[in-house]
Amino acid sequence: MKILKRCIALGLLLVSHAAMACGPYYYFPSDYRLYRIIPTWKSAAEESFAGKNISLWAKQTGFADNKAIEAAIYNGTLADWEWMAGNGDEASEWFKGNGFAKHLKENGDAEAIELLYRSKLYENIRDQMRSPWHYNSRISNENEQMQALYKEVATSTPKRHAARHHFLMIKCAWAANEDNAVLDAWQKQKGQLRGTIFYDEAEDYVARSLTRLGRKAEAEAIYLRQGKLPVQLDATSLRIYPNSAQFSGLLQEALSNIERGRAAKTYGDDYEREHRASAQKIIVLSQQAMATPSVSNKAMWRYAAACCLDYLGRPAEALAMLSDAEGGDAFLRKSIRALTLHLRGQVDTIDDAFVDYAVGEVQWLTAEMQREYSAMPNDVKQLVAHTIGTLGWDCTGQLGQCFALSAMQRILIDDETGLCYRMAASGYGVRALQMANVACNYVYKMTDNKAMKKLRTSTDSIYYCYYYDRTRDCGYLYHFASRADTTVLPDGAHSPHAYLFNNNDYSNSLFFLADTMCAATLEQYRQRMLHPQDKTDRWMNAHSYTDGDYWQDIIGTHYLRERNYAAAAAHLRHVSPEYQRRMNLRCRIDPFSIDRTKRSHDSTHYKLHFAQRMDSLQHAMLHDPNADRRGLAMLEYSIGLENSFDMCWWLTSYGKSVYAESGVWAKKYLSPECRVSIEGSPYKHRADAAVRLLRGKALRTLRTDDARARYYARLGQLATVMKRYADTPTAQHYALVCDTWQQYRKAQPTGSSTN
Amino acid sequence: MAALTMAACGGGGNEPQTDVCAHRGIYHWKTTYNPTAWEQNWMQEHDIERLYVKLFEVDAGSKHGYDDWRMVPVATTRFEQPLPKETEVVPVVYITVDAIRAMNGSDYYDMERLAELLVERIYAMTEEHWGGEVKEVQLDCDWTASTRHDFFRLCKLVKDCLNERGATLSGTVRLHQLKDEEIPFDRKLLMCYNTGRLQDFKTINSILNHDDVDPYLRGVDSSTLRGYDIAWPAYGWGVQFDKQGHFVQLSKPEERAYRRIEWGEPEEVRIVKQHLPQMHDNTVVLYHLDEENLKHYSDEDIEEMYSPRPAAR
Repeated sequence: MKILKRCIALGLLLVSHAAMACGPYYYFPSDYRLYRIIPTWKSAAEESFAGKNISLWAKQTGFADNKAIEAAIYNGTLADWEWMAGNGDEASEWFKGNGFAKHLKENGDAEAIELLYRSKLYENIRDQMRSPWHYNSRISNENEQMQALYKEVATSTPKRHAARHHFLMIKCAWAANEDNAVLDAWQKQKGQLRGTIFYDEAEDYVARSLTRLGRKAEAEAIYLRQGKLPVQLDATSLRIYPNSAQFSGLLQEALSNIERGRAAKTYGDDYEREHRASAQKIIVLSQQAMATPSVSNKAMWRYAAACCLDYLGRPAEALAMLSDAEGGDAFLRKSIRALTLHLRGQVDTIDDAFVDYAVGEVQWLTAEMQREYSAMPNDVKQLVAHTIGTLGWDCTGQLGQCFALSAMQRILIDDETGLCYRMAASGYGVRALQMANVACNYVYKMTDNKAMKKLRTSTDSIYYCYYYDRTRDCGYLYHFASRADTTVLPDGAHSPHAYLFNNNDYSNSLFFLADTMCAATLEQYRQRMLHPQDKTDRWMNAHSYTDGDYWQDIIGTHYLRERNYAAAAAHLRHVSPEYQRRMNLRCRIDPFSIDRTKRSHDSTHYKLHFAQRMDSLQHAMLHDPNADRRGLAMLEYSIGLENSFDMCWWLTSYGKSVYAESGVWAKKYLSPECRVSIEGSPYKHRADAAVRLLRGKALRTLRTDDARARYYARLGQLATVMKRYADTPTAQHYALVCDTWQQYRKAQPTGSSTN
Repeated sequence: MAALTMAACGGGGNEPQTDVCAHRGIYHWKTTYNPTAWEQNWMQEHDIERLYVKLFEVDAGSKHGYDDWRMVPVATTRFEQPLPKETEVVPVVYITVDAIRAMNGSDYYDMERLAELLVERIYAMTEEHWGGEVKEVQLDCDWTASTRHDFFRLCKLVKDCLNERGATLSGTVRLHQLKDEEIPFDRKLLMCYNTGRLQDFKTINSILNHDDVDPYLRGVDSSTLRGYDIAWPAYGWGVQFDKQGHFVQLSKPEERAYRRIEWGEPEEVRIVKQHLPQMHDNTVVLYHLDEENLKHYSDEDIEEMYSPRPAAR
């Protein structure tokens, strides 16, 4: 279903000329990855050497502009650096103006200039050597040049840039086929290289020289240490390379596949079988690893097994597995802690103590989010700060850059195992809402997300507040420029540039969770926003989205569905007209009409006015001393009630779908319109029963024939009016205005004319 | 063996022989140079003076992922032993027709650059694995009418490079190319093998059959063959067909159903030699240095193939 939803959204983007630059894309908590052994696919050790090199140059030369350094050392040509070193005639103009080049020249950093010139020369000769025509012989031109460079480097004495110098010397010796010189230099200089960014790189050349010298076992030992040997996730590899660095990547890949399979299990049984088999295999292999004394990182294997047990629906065993998982690196320890919360959320009794523990862990995860965000490169931060949804954080099939956010989503609000749902069911609804709000919205606060800010504060109409299954007949939520029927489109939707997609506030898991709760709980939550009871409330509010319009509208709508119209009106009157106008409240179908084409002219207080009128009708049908007026109020109330769950469903809900008609009122596997659909809900069933009851009771309450004539006329049954109550003023009114049966049909009365 | 050699050079037989004693050469056409002791001994016993070693092949760059190179070296021979110091080495480069096609439309500088790279690579390899003075370099290419122009352009540039270094350029000439008067090599080598239609079920011997050769030799006289060396086949194979007589593959020269066994037959060599005009100061080259193949031939067979004129019968 999620896939279907995404396809629809994508399809709409493709067909609609009104498509935004960035279309809606729904992220579900199950799209996030909790099972994490390594922070990203590229481990920290494999992080770009170039990036580290640039940072080191910045540190060593006291020049802070990394971009200028990058341009100078990676884009500068040999001729440019020859000119810098005083050997060349001319450099390119851009290079002469490069800040880093100028900095080195002005500071007379001869050693750095010489080193960079030689490095560039090395690269230049290596480029020639990489030509398919080059033959690696001692007497080739390139080899002779490299020999000369090697001798030059080997005979010079480094001062400030010793590690760089030694690394260059090893590279030159290797490229000049001086393998023994590579080994000699390594033996002499590895002490100075240790702890620098050049150590692993230089050791790689040592392994290559050892290979050329036929010392393959020694080379293999280096490659093994560097994680470059082909290791598989099987018992043989475990036996031969019990501590291969590659196991972390392989386990991560396998766990990600399993977790992805979990999210996509609606694809079919075959996939699930495959993933279950894979999980079983990892558990068995992990048990072997735990029983192998030479395996040093047992915590990683325990963690992997615990993830697989969790996937297989055995959280208690998984928790037991984790209890002995000690050690591992800092990231793994973080993963273990997060998984522990996830598992305890499924196994433990939800009580005050547990909720306190969960709150503490949410606060810890939030702090981790902040740490991870601070550590991100600036370009990623920029992306995150301008993107709505989760782009830049976590995308389906990939490891996100912010593990804590991923983990929080999966742990708290996942469809199947979300802790918030369990807490809500155990009577901790407000805390559950608070935690879900943090999980869904803190990211925008933390990143000061410009796109979200615009979406929430713009005066343009917003889109995707209401969901409607398009197979129904009363209109389209989605905008098609060529179609006239835009019943539930927001104001301004006809102008393709004047509305915004909001695929967060009415699509996120907080909203779905809220949608499963009664209005009273939501109101309590609102009260705790306005009047925090404790420190935790204050912390939660500070990390949440607490906009009054947003919450009052949701609470008011919930009260409407619960038929508590006075309470609904009390909340809806606090929703600003601007907000209502923006968010597509004015759907124009008159909720007191039995005519589906009759539009309302209520531009800004559609929901509020409905609530107020229903409240007054409720009062009239209970307290009006006149029986006819009581009966007709009942009738009117029943029409409003019926419409509010049917053709004016947006009064009581944020979505309507045929899927829900099958009786599914569940949060699992359903697209947004299904989750928030009023169809099939107990509210709808109760409303339908009340309508039937009230229609009968109203008729029985009426005392005069004219009132009865008005009753039938209100329901459009003019034939009954004329047949049974021909002498009443109401019948005579219709007889006067209608000469033919066709005219009778046209003259069907509307709700507002009856009172 | 020496006696046999003497006989071939005119020391025996009733008729006086006027051909000048030929130089002896053999091709090495494998991708790894690692001759067996038997092969090394064989070369000594048969007084091999020239070893024609294929160093690499040149193919179209685009076929090997080098879109920025029109042609690139491939199948470079790996040397597990050094080349024999006492033998003259003639480096050979095989150039595919695709490589020549890829050169179509290239400008002079493109071609010149590739010629230089090719020569530099040959010298780098021979220096690394042999160390002797390169006197001759051979290019092998089955050029056709459509690729002739570009191949000759390349050859002229390679020849200039080699001549500057004091070496000459030789090239292989197939029988069908024999009458081309503009072949730009310093020396030519007439390939007297692979003369028949390999894939034709009815072919008797595609390696060498005098009936296939004779038509090409009509009108060929001594002056035509001036500056020519000659190569004879000393190899065999099995040509596998299916039941319908369609060619399937080449295989070992072992008897099997639907398999035609072919060898470069000394008798055929003898007949073709009789039909050839007299050749002066040339090199006779056998194809190729391979123990398994060469063991098929007796010393007498080998000597007869190396002899400039057929021994009297």
